[in-house]
Amino acid sequence: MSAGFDPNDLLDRLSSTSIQQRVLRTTMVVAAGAFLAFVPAAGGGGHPWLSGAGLLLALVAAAAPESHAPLGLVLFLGAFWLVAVPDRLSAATVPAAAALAVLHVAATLAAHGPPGVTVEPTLLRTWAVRTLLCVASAAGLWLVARAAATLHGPQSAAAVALALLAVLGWCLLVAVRITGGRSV
Amino acid sequence: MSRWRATASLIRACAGVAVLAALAVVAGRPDLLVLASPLLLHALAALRGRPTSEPVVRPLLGTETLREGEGTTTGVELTPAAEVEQVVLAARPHRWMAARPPAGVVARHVRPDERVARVQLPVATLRWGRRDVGDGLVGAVSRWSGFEWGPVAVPSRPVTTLPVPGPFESRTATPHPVGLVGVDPARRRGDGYEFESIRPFHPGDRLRRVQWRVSLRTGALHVTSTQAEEDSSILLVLDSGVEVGASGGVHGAASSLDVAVRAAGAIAEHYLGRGDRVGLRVLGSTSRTVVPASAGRLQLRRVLETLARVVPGENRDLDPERMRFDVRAGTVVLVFSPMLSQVSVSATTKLASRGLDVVVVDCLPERVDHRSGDADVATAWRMRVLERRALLERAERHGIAVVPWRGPGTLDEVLRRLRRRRPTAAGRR
Repeated sequence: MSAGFDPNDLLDRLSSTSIQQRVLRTTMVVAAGAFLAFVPAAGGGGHPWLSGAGLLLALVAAAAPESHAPLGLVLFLGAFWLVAVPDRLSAATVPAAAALAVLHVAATLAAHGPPGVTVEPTLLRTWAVRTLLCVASAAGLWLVARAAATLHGPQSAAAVALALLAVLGWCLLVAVRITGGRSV
Repeated sequence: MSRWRATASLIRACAGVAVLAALAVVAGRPDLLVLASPLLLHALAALRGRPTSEPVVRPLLGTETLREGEGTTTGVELTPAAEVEQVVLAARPHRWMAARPPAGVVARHVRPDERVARVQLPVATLRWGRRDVGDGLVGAVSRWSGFEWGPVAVPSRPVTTLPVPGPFESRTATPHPVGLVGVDPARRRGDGYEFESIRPFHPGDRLRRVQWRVSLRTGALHVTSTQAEEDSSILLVLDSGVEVGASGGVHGAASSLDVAVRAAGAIAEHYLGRGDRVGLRVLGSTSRTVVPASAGRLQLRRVLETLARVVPGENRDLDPERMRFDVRAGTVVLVFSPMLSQVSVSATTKLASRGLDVVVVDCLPERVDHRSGDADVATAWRMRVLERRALLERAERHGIAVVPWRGPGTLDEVLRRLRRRRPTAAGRR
């Protein structure tokens, strides 16, 4: 039910949001703030300007969750993590991934209809379980990565090429599934 | 035709995974893969649930005829619903329809075992009238919010809101009952319950009418005679040419047309409930304007439905000289009007000149908000009130009674006066 983002009616849309929508949008901002807070916890040091930009982007995304602003926020947070955090597998990675998952799910639910919509509690419970599953997958992957890191395996060019091929395969799979195989 | 397309959420998950995974590989940062893994899981699950069939929308409406203040449901039904996780309906707001929730947006979670997805919005109608409701937009989201369908326009459906008749009760009989059977005491003798006189016995009189006490005293058979009981004919004339005052719906202030429509409905309900014949004529409407006089519950429905179709000021080109009223002699004509237009006064005097009993029920609300802050409007309104006073005096000079609508007992005094008055030649016709 995502409609195109139109800045002209942004205030109208914000004024007609339901209480649940306001909670979901606030959750987006809080989750983004939590993610930014985990950067120093992961040894990233303080980056007030970048953090401020991230929060500003989070506010924009919360104002228009049905647009692609949350995508920009996710990519910004990922890039910020890459730049700011030196430790590759810090313990703060899992809560940061959880914050990113909560941000993504809150944006998903906030874009489920017009601003006045209230999602049924049963659907909220379903999404809570799904979010837990997503966070559990992140925790599991973190454990596997930590275990693999202890082996100190060589990072060959062939391995990087194979991994890039896997990413390319993922992009192809997504394109085929999203378009239904019509244009690919 | 609308088709399923990827949601912003799915695009975000897929693009996020692709970018973060690429960065992870290039920069040798497995922690970015950890960050991307929740998005990956969501994207895989959403892609797996890509819908294959297009839903078909069927609009739903609880009931097509309501009374003011009553509620019903409007909504849509989507089939097939197996691939749908949530249906959202956003109904278009209408002035005289209240929805719950007030925004008119309702969402429903569709469980995987449901074949048909129904989403319904409770609405209540706040004012009499006929209007289209239920139009809006409907959309659906697939499992894991991967794909969205719509929004698709939902067609509207007509709903008729019958006026809630105001409280009305009259203990006075109509002046000239002219029918065969009914409850109004007639001017002639016959079978009935109202005592008329004790008179000498005539052949044909019933034995149970013999007044034995008088017969013994006088030595000749006497009987108790009663007044016949007949039904009456009532013509309701509604002036819809002018509406004064702002209507606040069934729970708010009433405009002159609100008062007129509800009063006409109340009087129709009262007299039809007694077995009388009631007809309706609407002055100023272009659609159905005449309901011939008849009796029964079905006639009440006809009268109320015609009242519900009244649109104020719809026809301003009425020529009082060309108006024809199919009225039987002895009919009581009740005119519901704020008496602010020449047309209504002309029609009323024309009916009175035929010798009919005509009563004007003044429907002008006691308080009319004419934006008194605007001096020009206030002056114009004062001039209108003076003009109305002149029109009312003209009507009263023609022997037309004017009574303000007060609910129960409004017509009692005026009907008593009309009953005492001798019927004119035209009235007896």
